[in-house]
Amino acid sequence: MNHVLTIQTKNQTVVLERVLQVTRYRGFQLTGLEMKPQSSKAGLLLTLSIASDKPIHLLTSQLNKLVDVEQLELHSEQLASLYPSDLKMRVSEPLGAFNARHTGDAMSTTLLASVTPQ
Amino acid sequence: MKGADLVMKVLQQHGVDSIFGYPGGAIMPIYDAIYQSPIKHYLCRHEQGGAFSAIGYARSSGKVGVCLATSGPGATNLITSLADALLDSVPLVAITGQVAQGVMGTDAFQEIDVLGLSLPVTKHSFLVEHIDALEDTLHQAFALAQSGRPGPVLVDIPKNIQLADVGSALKPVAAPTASTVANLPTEQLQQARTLIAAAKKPMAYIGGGVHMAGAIAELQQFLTKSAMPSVTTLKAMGSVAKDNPYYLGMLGMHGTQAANLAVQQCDLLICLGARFDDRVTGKLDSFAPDAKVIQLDIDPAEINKLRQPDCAMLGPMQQLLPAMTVATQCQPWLEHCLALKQQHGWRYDHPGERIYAPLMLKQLSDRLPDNSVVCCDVGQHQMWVAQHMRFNHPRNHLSSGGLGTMGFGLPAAIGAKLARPEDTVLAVSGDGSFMMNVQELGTIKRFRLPVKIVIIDNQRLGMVKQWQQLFFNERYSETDLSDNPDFVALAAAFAIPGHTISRKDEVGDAIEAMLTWPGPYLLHVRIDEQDNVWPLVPPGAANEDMLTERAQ
Repeated sequence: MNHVLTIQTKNQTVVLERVLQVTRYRGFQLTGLEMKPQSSKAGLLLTLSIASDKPIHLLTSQLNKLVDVEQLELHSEQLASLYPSDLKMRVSEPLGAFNARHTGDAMSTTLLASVTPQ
Repeated sequence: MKGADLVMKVLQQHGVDSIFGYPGGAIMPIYDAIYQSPIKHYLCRHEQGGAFSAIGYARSSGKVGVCLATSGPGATNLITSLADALLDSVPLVAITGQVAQGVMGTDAFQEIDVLGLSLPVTKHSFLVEHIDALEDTLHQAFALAQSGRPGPVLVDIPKNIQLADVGSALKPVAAPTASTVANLPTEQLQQARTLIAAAKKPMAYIGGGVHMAGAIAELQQFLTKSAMPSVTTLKAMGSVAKDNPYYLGMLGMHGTQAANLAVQQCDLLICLGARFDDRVTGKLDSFAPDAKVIQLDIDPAEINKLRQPDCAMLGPMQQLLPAMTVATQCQPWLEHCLALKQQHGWRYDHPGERIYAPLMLKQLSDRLPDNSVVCCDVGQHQMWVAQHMRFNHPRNHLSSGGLGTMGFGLPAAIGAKLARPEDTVLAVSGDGSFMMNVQELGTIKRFRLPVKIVIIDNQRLGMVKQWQQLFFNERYSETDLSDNPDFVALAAAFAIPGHTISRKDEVGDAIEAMLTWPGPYLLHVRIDEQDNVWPLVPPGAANEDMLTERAQ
C-alpha cells in the first residue's frame, strides 16, 4: 500500500537522517521525499511517500518517538475513506488522549486502521 | 568558567556521584575539569567497559549512568554499549569529546561522525553547536534518558566548546515531571477488569517495564489480589515475590516447561511492560494461541507491534495495576499450574563427580546474602543463572537481554559494586565472554573493588556449540576454546586471588572461600563440555515444542 506522511520537525540538521534511518530500518520503502523549511516555525516540513506491505502504524509509531518530530500526519487514501477521524497522531499527545482513542472498539479501529483492510 | 567546568557542574546538579570513562585528546578539557571535581571518575580500560560499568551502575541502582569518551575511537568503542542500553531501556548519558568545530568535516585526527553513528543506537543524541546551548542540552539529556521508556542519550561536545567561556550562574534543574496521570483510562480499565474476572486461565507475562516504572509492590499486590499465575522475561526476573506459589519462572526459548506450557494454554495474557520478543514467543503465530491480550506499556510503539491486544493502556504502571485489580475465579487453573510446576521441576540429581553448573549455581544462590547483585555475561551460563538462581528484585540480576552482549558481565559488576558498595556483587561469566572485556580486571585492581568473579568454563563457546550440535550436524566451527589462558594466573597478574575447582565435592567450600574473602576473588569452575542448556525451544518452533535433556 502507498502512504504519504507529512512530518513537522524541529530545525535540527540531523532530523532528516533520523527520519530516513528509522524508515529504512523498520523496513519501509521511500518512494518520494520533499523537505521545506518553515520560516514561520523555524522547523522543517517533510513529506514522505512510502510503499510497504507492512502496516503503516509500525512506522508512524516509531517516527512519532523521535524527539525532533513535532507532528506527524498520515494520508492514505484507502484509510481516509474508512477511518476519517483517526488520521492525526501527535507526538505530544497526552497519555489520556491515547487511552481515550484506544477504547474498546475505537481501539481496534485505531489499531486495525493501519492494517490492510481484511 | 569554561564549558568543561559547566559539564561537571551540571552532572553534580543531577546528583551524579560516579562517572566512567577514558581520556583522550578531544575530551581533555573535560578531564581537566574532572581533576578538581567532587564527582568520582572511574578509569576503565576500554570505553565499552566503561559504558557497561555505567549501565551496571544504572541498572543496579535505578539512577542514570554516565560515561565519557574521547572523539574517534573512544566514541566508536561506546557504540556496542549504547546499543545494549537502548535494547534494555537503560537510562544512560554518554558524553563524547569531538574535534574543534573549526576542523570538523576535514577528516581531522580522531574525527569521525559520532552524531551520525549514534542515530540507531540511542534514544536521542545531540551535537552541541554553541556554548550557549551546552547547559540546556545536558539537562535535556538527563530528562530524556529517564523519561517514558528510558534509554541512552549521547552528547557530543566539540573541544572548542569545552574551552569556551560561559557564565558561572547555573539554571536550576527542572523538577522531574510527575509520572502520575490525573485521568486514568476508565473505559479500558473496566474492560480489563471484565476480561480478568471472566478469564478461566489468566496469566501475567511480566517484563522489565514493571520494575523500571517502580511498580514492583503494585505488581505483587495485583498478583495476590487478582490471584493468577505469572511468568517473567529475563529482564524481569525477581519481580515476583519469592513466596508466590503460582510464579512459574522465566518463559521463552530457555524458559521453564511449566511457564511455557501454561502460557500456551492460557485464555488471557496480561502483558506488563514486556514486548513479545522472539526469544520469548518462539513462533509468534503460535504464541499463547487461545489468549486474549491485555497490554500495559509506557511506549506507544510497543502496542500492537507484534501482537494485537484486545485491550491496551499506556501509562504509569503504579496507577494502572491497582486500578485493574479484580478477583479472579480460576482455582482449577491455579491448581493445574501448580501441578505443572511440580511435574516439571528442576532436577539436580546429576550423576558423577564432575560439577553440574545448574546445581553449582543453585548452591551459590542459596548461599548468597539477600540483595546480592549477580551480573551475567551471555551464553549457556547466562541461561543457567536465569534458571537456577533466585532474585528478590530485578536490580539484583543484570543480564544483557535485548542485545545479548558478551563482555557485559565483568564491567557491569564493577558499576554495580560502586553503586551498591554494601552489597555482595558477583560477575558470573563463561570462558568465552570473560575474555571479551578482560581488561577491566585492571579497573578492579586499580580501585580494589571486592567483586567476586565466577567463570563457568567448558572450554567452548558453549551456546554456539550447543546449536552446532543440535542444528548444524555437529560441525563445531570455531567454538573450541581449549587453549584458554590460565584464568587463575591471569587474575593473579591483577592481584586478584583465585582458585580452580572441577569436582562437585569442592563446590561448597569454594563458594564459602570466595564469599568470605574480603577482596576481589576469581573462582574458576571447570565443567563438562557436553553439558547443555535445557529445555530449549528450537528456532521456528512453538513454545510447547521444547527439547529436553531426557529426550536427547
